[in-house]
Amino acid sequence: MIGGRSAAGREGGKVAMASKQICFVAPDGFTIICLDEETIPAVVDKVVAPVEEEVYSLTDGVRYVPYRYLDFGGGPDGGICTATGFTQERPATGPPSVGERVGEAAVDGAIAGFDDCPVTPAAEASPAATERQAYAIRYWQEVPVPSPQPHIAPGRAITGLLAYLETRGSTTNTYTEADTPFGPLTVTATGRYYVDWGDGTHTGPYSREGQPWPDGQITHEYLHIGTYDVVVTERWTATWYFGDESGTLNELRTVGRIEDFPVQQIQAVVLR
Amino acid sequence: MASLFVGACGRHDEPLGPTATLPQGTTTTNPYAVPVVIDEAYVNRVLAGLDHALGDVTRIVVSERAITQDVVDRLKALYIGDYLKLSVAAFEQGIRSGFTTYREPPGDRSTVVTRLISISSSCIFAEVRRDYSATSVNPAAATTIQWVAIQPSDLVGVAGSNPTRWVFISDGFAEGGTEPPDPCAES
Repeated sequence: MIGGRSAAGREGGKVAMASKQICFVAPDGFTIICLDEETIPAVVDKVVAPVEEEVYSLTDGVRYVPYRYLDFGGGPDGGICTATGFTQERPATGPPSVGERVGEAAVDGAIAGFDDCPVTPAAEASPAATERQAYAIRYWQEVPVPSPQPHIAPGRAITGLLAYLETRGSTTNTYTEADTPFGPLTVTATGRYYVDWGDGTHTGPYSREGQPWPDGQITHEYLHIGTYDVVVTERWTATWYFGDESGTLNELRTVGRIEDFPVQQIQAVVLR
Repeated sequence: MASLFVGACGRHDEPLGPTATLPQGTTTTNPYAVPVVIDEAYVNRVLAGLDHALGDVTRIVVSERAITQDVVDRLKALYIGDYLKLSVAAFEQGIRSGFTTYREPPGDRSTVVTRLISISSSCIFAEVRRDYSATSVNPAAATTIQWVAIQPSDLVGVAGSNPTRWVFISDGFAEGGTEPPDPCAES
């Protein structure tokens, strides 16, 4: 996974990265992009352009919005091509409106001049396996996946000082249903946090909970006073198990917010 | 000052680009031709050329808000391997955030060698100090210590966008902001 980070690797700065192998500083000198060693070679897993003014409902209760991304090495000659992915959201207050952007911000026209990636036909599964997978998918859509409840103590931040984000969620969950037509079902889910700090900085993924000062690893230094909307998105991946048979489930996202988070400044005053 | 004597022959001593007839008595030199002695001055000159080429790419992406084939071709002449992916991802991140941390138009980052670690005509690895004050509106991004490795390349990019004939094989830092393994030692 490639993830953006900020304010790392500079003199006297803070570096809070785990399991990263190589990091590149964007030309703005502030955004750090790191590549996990576990995902080399990796697809750039980013929403870069919407392709349809339409929201698909492929399964009851789950809606998908298509997006396009650059796939390195996905072309017939191992080159760059464009592929389609689907964001996914769990309906909260009703279905999303047509064309509504879901998940990371999509950007019009961010990809141009690349051919579509060849479509790989999916391996045919047996009818029984398909039914088990369909059952697991429906179950995954219905289980209550926890949302982060973010908090930054003491309810405000000071410019020039680190703000410690507490995620107040969970990153692993196991769900079981003993009585199914196919035997006991187990779904194991793992979440990773991504933080939009509201000032143009995006960091993540974080596989551990954000903790308060002084041990927390999810931190940020605001540079300017103001109020910011901090958005913590948790991306859940899951695997289902029916006995020895297993399969992966589509990503779900849950979101927690801190609206109008105040960032203030401290000034020294000399009294005579 | 660290330096290395290298042979005088090889493609990097050849003139770059199309040849032109020059008036008698006029001489021209290729500032990126590999010298007999590779020293900090030469590496700084090459890195400045690469910074300018990356600056051109940055100005295109910031202006067009898009990663076009032209942009990727230019980046391919600057980065290879995983760093090509990382550089594209960095621009994607900028597009998503609206380039709010970039000057418009952005200038060139500047790179100055602070320590030459490996030197040869086929690979150079160095610790550098980067200055982003011309590209960034963020004062926190003023200077950073990073590590770069470059190797010769036949790619000169779109319309000779990278005239240095060197390409980054490493550009940044490793886990925790530390020095990465020497790519020149691996090759």
